[in-house]
This record gives sequence, C-alpha cells and structure tokens, in this order.
Amino acid sequence: MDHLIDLTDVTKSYNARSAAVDHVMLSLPRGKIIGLLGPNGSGKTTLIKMLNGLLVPTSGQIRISGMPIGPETKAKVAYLPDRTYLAGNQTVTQILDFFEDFYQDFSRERAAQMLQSLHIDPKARMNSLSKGTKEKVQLILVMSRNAELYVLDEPIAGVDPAARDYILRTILNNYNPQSTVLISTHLISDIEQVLHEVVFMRYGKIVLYTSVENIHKEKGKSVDAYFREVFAC
Amino acid sequence: MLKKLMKYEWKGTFKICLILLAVVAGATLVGALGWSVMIRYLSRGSAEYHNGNEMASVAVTMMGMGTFFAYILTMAGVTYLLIGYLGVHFYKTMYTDEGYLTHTLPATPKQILFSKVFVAGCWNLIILGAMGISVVVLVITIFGSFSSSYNGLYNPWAEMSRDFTQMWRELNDTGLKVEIVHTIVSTILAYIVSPFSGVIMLFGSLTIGQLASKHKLLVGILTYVGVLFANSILGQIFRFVFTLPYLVRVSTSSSSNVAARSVAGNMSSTLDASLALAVVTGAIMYFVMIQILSKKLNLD
Repeated sequence: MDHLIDLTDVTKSYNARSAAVDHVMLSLPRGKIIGLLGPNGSGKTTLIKMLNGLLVPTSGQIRISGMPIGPETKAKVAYLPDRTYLAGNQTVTQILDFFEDFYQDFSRERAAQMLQSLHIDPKARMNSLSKGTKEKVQLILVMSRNAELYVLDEPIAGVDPAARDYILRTILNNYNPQSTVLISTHLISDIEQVLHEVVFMRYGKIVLYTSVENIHKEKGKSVDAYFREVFAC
Repeated sequence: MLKKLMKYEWKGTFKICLILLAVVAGATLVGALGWSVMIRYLSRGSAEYHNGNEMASVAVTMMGMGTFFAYILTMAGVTYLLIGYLGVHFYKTMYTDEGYLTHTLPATPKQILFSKVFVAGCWNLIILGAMGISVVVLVITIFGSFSSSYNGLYNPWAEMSRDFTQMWRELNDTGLKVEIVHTIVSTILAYIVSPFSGVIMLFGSLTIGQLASKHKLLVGILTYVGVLFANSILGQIFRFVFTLPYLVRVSTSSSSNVAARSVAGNMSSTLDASLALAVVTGAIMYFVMIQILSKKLNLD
C-alpha cells in the first residue's frame, strides 16, 4: 500500500524519565482526512512537530512520501501550528508574497478569494488583527497550498462557531483526493463530520487507529462519544 | 532557495540597520560641526580670551569636549545596539513562534543559517565601515579647520604628507616595508573576518542555549558571556605565544634595526593571532550550530 506517512518505532523524550512519544509505529495513507485525537499531554503536538521537522526524534524514523524529514518533505507539507508564527509588523500581502516565493504549490488566487470571502483586508498588518483573524489568515495560507499533506494543529480552537463552519468547509473544499489532511483537535464533535479516520493517542502511544465508519458500525457511537468512553477520567 | 532566504533576511533587518547608519551619520555631522566651531573659535587667537571673553572660550571648549564624548558614546551605543538587535532578530526568527515558519521552509539548516550569518555579518561590516569613515571625516574636518583657521600658516595636510613620505623612505631603508604591508593586510583581513566571527559567536551561543530544557534564552546569553570571556583569555594566550619570539629578539638585540623590525613583526603577529583565533572560533561555533539545528532542534 502507498503510504504517505510512515513512522517506524519513533520515540521522543524531553528528559530521561518519560517519553512524549513512545515507540510509535504508524502508517497513514493518501487521500484521507484523519483526526489525531487524544487528551492533553498525549503526544499529539510532539508527533506533529516531528512530522514538520521542528523536533528531532530521539530514536526511530519518520518518512513522508518515502523521504526522511528535510527540505523535500517540507515542500510537500502544509503546516498550521497551534500558535501565530507570522511576524506582527508584516501586512497580509507581504506574507502572501513570502509564501508565493517559498512554496511552489502556493496558489495566490485561492488565497485572495478566501481573504475576500472572510473580509480580511490584505493591506492590514498582522499586529492589527484579532487573534481569531490571525488564525484565519494562517489557515488561508496553509489551505492555499496544493500540498500532499496538510497538518493542522488545533485549527478551530480559537475561532467562533461561524468561522469554524467556514474553516471546515475550507478544508473540505480545498482537500484533493491525492492529499491527506491530519487534524489534531479537542473539539471532536465539531470536526467529526469531515473525518474519514481517527488516531487515538494516550501517554505517547497509539491506542487506536481506525476509520470513523468502523466506530459507527462496531461501537454504535459517534467518535466524540467513543472518545469520551476511551479517555474517561 | 538561498537567494530567497537572503532576500527576506535583508528585508527583515534593513530598517533598524539603516536607522543605526543614520545615527552614525548624524553623530559624524554633529561631531564635525562641534569640532570645527571650537577650532575656528579658539584659533582666533588669545586676544579675545584676554579681552574678557574667557567664559565664551571655556564654553566653546566644553562644547567641543562634550561633542567628543557624545560622539564616542554614540559610536559605542550603536555598536552595542547593533549586536543586541542582530541577536534579538536571530533569536526571534529562529527560536520563538516565528521559528515555526523559518524551520518549516523547504530549506536546509545550512541554508537558513548561512543566510542569517551572512546578512548579519554584512550589516556588522557595513556599520563598522561607516564608523571608520566617520572617524576619517572627523579627522579631515579637524585638519581642514586647522588649515583654514591659521590662514595657511599651519598646514596639517602638508605636515602629514611629509611625515609619511619620510617614514616610507626609512621603512624601505631598514627593510621594514614587508612587515608594514603584512600588518596592513592583516588589519584589512581582520576587519572583514571579525564582524562575521562576532555574529557567529553570538548566534552560536544563543543556539547552544537551546540545548537547555528550561530558561533557554538566559542560558544562551550566559553562554555568550562565557564565550566572549574564553575568547579574550585565549586571545591573550595566542598573542603571547605568537609574539614571544619577537619580544625575545628585541630584548637581546643591541641593533636598533633588528629591534625595529621585531616591533613591527610583533605587531603583525598580534594581528595574525587575533585573526587566526577569530577564524578558528567562528568555524567551531558555526559547526556546532549546524549540528544542533540538524540533530538537536527542539522548538518549544
């Protein structure tokens, strides 16, 4: 099977006592929208950072499209972090220029359309925008790329319900069947409708990797309800 | 990719660096005006001084001295502000939230690092060069003021030119010319290498700070202080080792020619030692940075 992401025995330890990601073996296919779900501290963000080369695994191997993490994989991965990574003194237009320069798969037209539909002024400076609008700008930048892998870390956490709907529509509309979208979130019920598969993580380990359809069929529950059952305190 | 990285690095740093250049230009203008006014006023002779203008003389002298100290302080301030700004810009774009964008660009750590070191080193070089030009402008202004104030009776340019010609002739006779040329070449090389080595030490220290699990910035700053201190101690040792043979020759020789050659050789060796140390330290720190960025990157 042609996997997009291959993690082989990946471990990440910040100290000698514990591992944030613990001997993870996981292969994810192309063409799916996958939810990366788990309680706080389960290792989701650490895993995502390793996929993007922001953390180096303590041991194990990560491959995207068969290549180890490096400039080639970064050219194929569109990453939305859980924070604002854009400089405050830049205008939205300057940021679009930057993305257009660095990412060959960036579509300026698509970004302009999304900015217009969200009523974001391209001349506005980032530090003049609200937190929610900054997040929208970042999402637009990411979803305007024709990437092979979209990695979205908490994409709907900081925005209002109306914007959430828009973001989910954006993900669905811009998703192409050859690419995979990996979404990490706590707001499962909001996102469940768009997911094909889910990965549950706890204490740095993968506890479940299955399709949403399977959960519905076998457990007779929604992903949100099943998540609450699995991770009940 | 490297071109693009450098383009955005220039874009990201030019505003503050141009402001610092403007400050250097402003200080030069004020310094040149202050000194030329003082020289012209004082050179009008002691007549006015004796005619009750003592206070004015004192005030003009104080203004000249004040201008001088303000000039020195401004130049020192610009140097520290520049290094501080370059450090903050590097840290912000590499190891804070903005680092998430930097490190997810389709570029290698070597390309990212090279673009940052090259641009910061160039700014360091440009501003250091501007300071050098500023000093030359001040000297020209002061000499020009002397020259015009004394109605050609005292011409520092002619005197300096005469001294240089005579010195060059003597250097030829004693065979010291080679040593002096060596010293000049070493000075030019040191001028080019030091700004780059300086930013590498700063960036390297901040990068080493990233290895700490907590208080990464503080560890980076302390590392920088430690690196500067160690570099200074090593510099003293290097210079001592490099110049020892010349010092021995000076102390044991009775010939003034040999002594003069040894002093000149001592000078060029001191510069060579500093240059060698800058190259070695810079290379080691650069290598350490590449290793950390490639194998130990841990963005919070």
